Amino acid sequence: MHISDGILDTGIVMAANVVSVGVIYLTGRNVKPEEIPKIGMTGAALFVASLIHFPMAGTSLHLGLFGIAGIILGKRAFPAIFTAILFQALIFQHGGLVTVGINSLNMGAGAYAAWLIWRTEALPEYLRSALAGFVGIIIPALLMSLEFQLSGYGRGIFYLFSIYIFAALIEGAVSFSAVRFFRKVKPELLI
Amino acid sequence: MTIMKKVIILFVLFALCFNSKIIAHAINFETERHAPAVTVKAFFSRSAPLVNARVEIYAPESEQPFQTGRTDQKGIFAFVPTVTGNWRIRVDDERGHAGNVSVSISGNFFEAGEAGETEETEETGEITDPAAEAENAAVYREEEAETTILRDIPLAYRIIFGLSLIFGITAIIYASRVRQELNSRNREA
Repeated sequence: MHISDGILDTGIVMAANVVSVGVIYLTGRNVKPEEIPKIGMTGAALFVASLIHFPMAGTSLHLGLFGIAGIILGKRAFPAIFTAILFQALIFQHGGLVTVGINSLNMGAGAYAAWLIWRTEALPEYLRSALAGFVGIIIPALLMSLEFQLSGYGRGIFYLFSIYIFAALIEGAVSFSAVRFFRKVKPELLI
Repeated sequence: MTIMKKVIILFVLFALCFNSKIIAHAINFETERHAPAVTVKAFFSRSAPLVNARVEIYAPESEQPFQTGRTDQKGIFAFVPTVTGNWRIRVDDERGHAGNVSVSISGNFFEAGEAGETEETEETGEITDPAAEAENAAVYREEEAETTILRDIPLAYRIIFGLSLIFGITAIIYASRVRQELNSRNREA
């Protein structure tokens, strides 16, 4: 899921960095002090979540928790995701440092989509929470495949995409149980 | 200065202290004096050797090269000094980096049976050709990706390190945001 340095077209990567700084400003603007600890905690959870690996079809997948970040933080998920990805790149060498922008835009898009689904009141809550978790992985995977396609890589990346469907299913289950847990323990966390 | 600006500056500074080697490649030299030859090993920060780099060796008080050559696959070259004094060596990889080192040869170097001595110096690489530097930056980044400071630290410590940084940044932003809020409330009152 994390794109490394030197794989994508430099133009795309640099543009994504500029855009993501702008998006941080837009999503972090007028943040209320009481929101900040929540953002920090979610960022910390995202930062660690990527270390939980499970083997799958010859490669290994890890949790992203972008769906849950979207559910808890809404549009404020982006600064948390950016921070988590930046520190993953710096401390775990997980994904490139120059590609922090494009990675966080991909995953931020997943979190935003998850939030949009979470806000759809028409659906029952269990369905919304599972769908949000699913979308939180599938949107970034889709974007990543698209970016690889734009940079002139072949169709092999779509094989990778099919693996992410499994990851998204697992993520959906995680998000479902997390929302159930929050509803029971700390319902005010769910906007 | 807004909080956002402060945070961005913090991030940039933080990134810089992890990747300073990418911006100005430090070239390290390890010289070994062992009569009758001096062996010099040239390498980037931690491991990557300067392979096939141009070497110019200048005798003390001489502007003409005493010897020219290239480093081998391990970034090593050797020469046999003839007089005492400071021998200057310039290594240029022709991909945009160069470094200088000098080796002082004293009188007892030439006396038979002297034990060898090893010394390590670090020179900040000068960028000789910005265009070539930019072109080859990706190659070096790959070579040096393995040389970040944190490579040898156990994973558990790295996790704690990362978490404490995230919590610390959160606390800083929280504190300054609360202060802003209080200030504006005071102004209203």
